[in-house]
Amino acid sequence: MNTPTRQQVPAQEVCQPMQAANLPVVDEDGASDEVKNLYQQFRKDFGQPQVPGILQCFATHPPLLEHMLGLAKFMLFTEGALGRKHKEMISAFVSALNRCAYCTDSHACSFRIAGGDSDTTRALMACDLEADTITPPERTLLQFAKKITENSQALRGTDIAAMRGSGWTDLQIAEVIHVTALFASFNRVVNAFGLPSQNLLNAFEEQSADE
Amino acid sequence: MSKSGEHIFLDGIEANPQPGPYADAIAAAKKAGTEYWGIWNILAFHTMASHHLCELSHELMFKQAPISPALRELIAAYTSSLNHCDFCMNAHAAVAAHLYNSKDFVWSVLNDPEGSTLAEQEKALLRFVRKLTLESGSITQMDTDSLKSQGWDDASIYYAIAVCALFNFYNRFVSGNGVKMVSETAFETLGARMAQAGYSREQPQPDSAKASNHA
Repeated sequence: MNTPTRQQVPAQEVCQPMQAANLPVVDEDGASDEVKNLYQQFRKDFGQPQVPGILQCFATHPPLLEHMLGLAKFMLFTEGALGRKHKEMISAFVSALNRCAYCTDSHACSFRIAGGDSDTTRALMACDLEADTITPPERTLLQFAKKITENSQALRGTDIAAMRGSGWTDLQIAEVIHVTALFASFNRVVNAFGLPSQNLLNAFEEQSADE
Repeated sequence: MSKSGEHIFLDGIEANPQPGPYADAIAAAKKAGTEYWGIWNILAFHTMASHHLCELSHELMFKQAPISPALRELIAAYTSSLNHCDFCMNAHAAVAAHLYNSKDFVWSVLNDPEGSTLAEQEKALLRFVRKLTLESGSITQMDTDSLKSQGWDDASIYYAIAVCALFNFYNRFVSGNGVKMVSETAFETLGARMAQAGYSREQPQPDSAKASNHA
């Protein structure tokens, strides 16, 4: 999902019709009243004029839209035991591992907005965990997210012990697992529909360079 | 530092269920001395996320849809087998066995979908589910067109995508937290309950969701 705050959304991204390569999505003109109301609820809750393409995928089944929005609101787009910056760090990295261009771009942009630096952003997008700007506890966290993504059946108590040894609490670890698993789901929905990248990150970097 | 809980890895989570339907379900099972699914421990860690997760699951898996509940459960079990999530595979194979009224049929599909007696149209759907699970970044319009040529409409394809994606979530949620297996009898009992009553543990009043977030 993608929810940079309103003032940081590049103007050209507002209200562009979304095209998915593989299957039709629900644009606002063709939406039922139920979906229109949920799109309005999204604008109200997230302060963003453009309804992201992933929500237009979920809107093919309105209860999916309603509860995916709820999950994103309460697990992802909120400060928890884990801060927003680390949630977006995981989101961008896992989306890159899952080869989801749309989510990688939008969450790389959200990571920057949440205070992430551009070197780390590039490393996450390249699935490179050796960058100097990634701290050792963050590296452990991302290695844990990678194992959940690619080989979750092999996770053992020793992986949890490594996370605890890097200073992460049980509540933070539970949130890492939840966010990582959410992107296993979001990335597959987006890839099945074939949503292209919105190039939000480039627009953000250009805007930052101008300021 | 490597101690682990009775049902899941994170004993700090298992020891502190947040007030809600899953804390109640765990307490009731403990009081009755019956086995319960360890996933309840991780559903009890974040009340609002779990509310949306379970209502979403109930809608997708249990309510009226263009593909049958039995086939949806089969997709869930098959996705879980591809992700080597034994807990979810056994749980949803038990639900599917109840709905198909045949444990043998369900396990024949999970063990060898191509060689099973599943209809060709449904085998095509499972092939799509396999690709979506294992290499979603390679899916193209050829894959969705191929499903349409087998007679699946957009609405059915949406359901297959959503169910597969949901279980790619659950498999990692369950394996990542180290949810332990239960006995075959407990899988059958709890699977039958799920087949009959669905995934929601809440009263049918949406505003009940306004309870507090986790601490």
